[in-house]
Amino acid sequence: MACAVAVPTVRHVVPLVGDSAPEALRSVQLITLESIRRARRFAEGNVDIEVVGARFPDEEVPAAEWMVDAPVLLTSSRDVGQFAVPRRLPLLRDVLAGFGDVQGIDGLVFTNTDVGLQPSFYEVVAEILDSGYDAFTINRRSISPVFGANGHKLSQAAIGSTHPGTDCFVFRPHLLGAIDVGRVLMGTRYVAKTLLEELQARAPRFRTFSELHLTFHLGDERVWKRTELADYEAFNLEEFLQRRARRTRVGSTVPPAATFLPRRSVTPTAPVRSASRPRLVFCAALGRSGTQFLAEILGSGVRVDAGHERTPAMSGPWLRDVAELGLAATYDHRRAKADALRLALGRLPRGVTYVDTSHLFLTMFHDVVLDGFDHGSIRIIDLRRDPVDIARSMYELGWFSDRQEGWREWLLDPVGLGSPLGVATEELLDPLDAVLLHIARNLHERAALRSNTPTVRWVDVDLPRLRTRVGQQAMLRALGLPPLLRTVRVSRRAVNTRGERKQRIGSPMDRDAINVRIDEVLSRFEGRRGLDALRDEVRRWR
Amino acid sequence: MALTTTQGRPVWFIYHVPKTGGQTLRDHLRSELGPTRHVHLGPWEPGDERPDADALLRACTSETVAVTGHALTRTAGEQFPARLVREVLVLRDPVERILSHYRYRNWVLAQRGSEPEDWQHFIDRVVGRDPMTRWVARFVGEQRPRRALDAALHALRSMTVVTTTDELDDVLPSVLGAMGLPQIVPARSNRTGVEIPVGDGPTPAILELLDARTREDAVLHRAARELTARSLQTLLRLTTAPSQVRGV
Repeated sequence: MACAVAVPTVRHVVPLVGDSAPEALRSVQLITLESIRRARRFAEGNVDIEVVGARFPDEEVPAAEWMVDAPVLLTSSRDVGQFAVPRRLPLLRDVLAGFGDVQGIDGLVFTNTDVGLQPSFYEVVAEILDSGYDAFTINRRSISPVFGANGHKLSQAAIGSTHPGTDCFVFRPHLLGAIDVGRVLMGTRYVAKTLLEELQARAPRFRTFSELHLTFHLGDERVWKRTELADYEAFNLEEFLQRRARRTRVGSTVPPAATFLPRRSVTPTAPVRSASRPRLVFCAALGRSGTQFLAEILGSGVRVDAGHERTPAMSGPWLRDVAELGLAATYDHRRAKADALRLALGRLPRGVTYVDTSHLFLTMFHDVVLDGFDHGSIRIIDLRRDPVDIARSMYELGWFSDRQEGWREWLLDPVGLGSPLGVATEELLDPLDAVLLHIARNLHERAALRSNTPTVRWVDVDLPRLRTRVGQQAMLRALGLPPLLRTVRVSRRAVNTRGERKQRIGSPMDRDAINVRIDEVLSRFEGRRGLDALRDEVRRWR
Repeated sequence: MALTTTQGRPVWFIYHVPKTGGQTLRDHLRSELGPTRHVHLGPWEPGDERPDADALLRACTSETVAVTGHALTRTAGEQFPARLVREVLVLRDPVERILSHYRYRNWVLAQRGSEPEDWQHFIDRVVGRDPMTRWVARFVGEQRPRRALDAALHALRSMTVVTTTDELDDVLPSVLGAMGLPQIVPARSNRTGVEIPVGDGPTPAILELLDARTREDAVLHRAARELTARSLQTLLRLTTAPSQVRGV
């Protein structure tokens, strides 16, 4: 007894044009329909094909007994905007409505009015679907219009040339409900691209077939638009970009970070999450407080990908922008850091923690990170060192002075734009003043960020304790990371390099002098905004 | 200085990272603009003598519309003090770019009757760390490797058009339109694809190695993909009168 083999079912929607379309397109449409008829006949018995002609209800279009008439183009460009040159262009979403109820269908095909099919089209489509693709496109070949004028066989036989544009889409029925093509208009740029990107984003297995001889297009003028129709293109571009932006945001939307920036109001929304392993670890710290050593410790851990000032470091031109324009005005540009982080995380195996101990986290990119990632997956190490030692080291290295070329590459003016300190530039006596106010600003902003991010776990670490095994293990425990197998020692090479540089700069300063200056600065700026954190920190270490 | 007819008209700098599709644009610009209005800072064909880029730049006139070539850098803007410089940059998936470079290299060797180069040799000899990032950093005057990604990534934000090879066919017509040229998709004029036999593909280990060597390139490429949308909007603004757009 013969066994019945299931024949794949394909539904093919073609938008049809009537009187409102140019004569040339209506002529080409006849060639398209004839090619579809032939391809349908060619596949008879092997593929069950239903062709649907989508049209405006009030327009007469070519009809055929093998084609389902679908007057589904209920809206047009006239309903969605005002354009300089009136045209009646259908909406892609109305054309796709022509697929109707897709239950029991194996594959959906959508081609443009002017795209002809090779006889083997449906059989090859069925074969590709059978191989497991969820969606694919087939790039057409452009053939000379002369062939079209001389009969269908010639137009199908012509080799033509490949074309990069996309005008033949095949996809699984379940994707129809998932894609969002907005209000993009047919017959204008970005319509194919909108559908293409939607399918690429939603289909687990997607492919573009660019070297198949399965579809053809008469002529290849490649003139994409006329200037007087630019507003249609602008409309489609806007719709396209909206879809793209929406997709980009998927998976990265979390409540905005509550930062020290005054542009945002702060509303604690959720408690700190459980002690699960973090995905991201950053460090709120000053330079010269052991951030590199911290990276070495964390990098010695199991399944930790750690670095110090990882690229893009957000120093140099980024920092100059922030110095000149402030954090809020540069926010969009600085999102490049969050994108780079997403890419880095995408490459890391599951369960590996990404660490960057850059002191620029606080100054330059905490906002884009906290806005872009789930707070429950982030830990911030609040790394402290005696401010006297920090100030001494910074001063001896020539920070904020002509002795250190290029400090503006990685340091913001402590009393410059956006500074929370109530001190003016003219009031600074020398680079040591700048160093101390830099510390004050950092501590103030750190405290503000900390109190404004209740959904992030902060881990307190004092540098002296970090030099001990107990201190290192305690930090890892608090972070939710596994213990180290050995204690990490301070790199002598790093210490020596700094020492040599300090010697070269030649500005030794003793701790007592720094202590005296701190007291003097706190007294000189008594009552000014933003200095309490420095006062408290100094007290804590004394 | 006397005003000329093109005073104030922008000059387009098209930075060309090798194997990103720049040759297509170069060829099309030359055919549309001719050698006076399109200046190319480099040899036209492989093996041609390298021209003196500085001399070519000094010879630019107020008629110059576009400058292309691997040797082009931002400092060339000094030759156009009274003109607005619009910058165009096309980037490509970093691993694909290297694969293309490899195929191209072997095509060149085949033309010379030489044996093809094997993957490992090619990588050891040619592929440094993040080559695409280094190229872009060099375009904008940053030579320090550690600062390359920051400089390149930051520079992208101020360029008029940043896109990827994948999206070139969507973007090029608009770039040409903004230059005042017919908005077409120029036929590809490179020698990759069908013209070059693919030969032995890279092994998974080679691909892994290439991937590891192009981490920063991948960041840059991702940024270029994202910036394509903004570039298209900019180009549309440059070619469309604002009053024309009245979508509701």
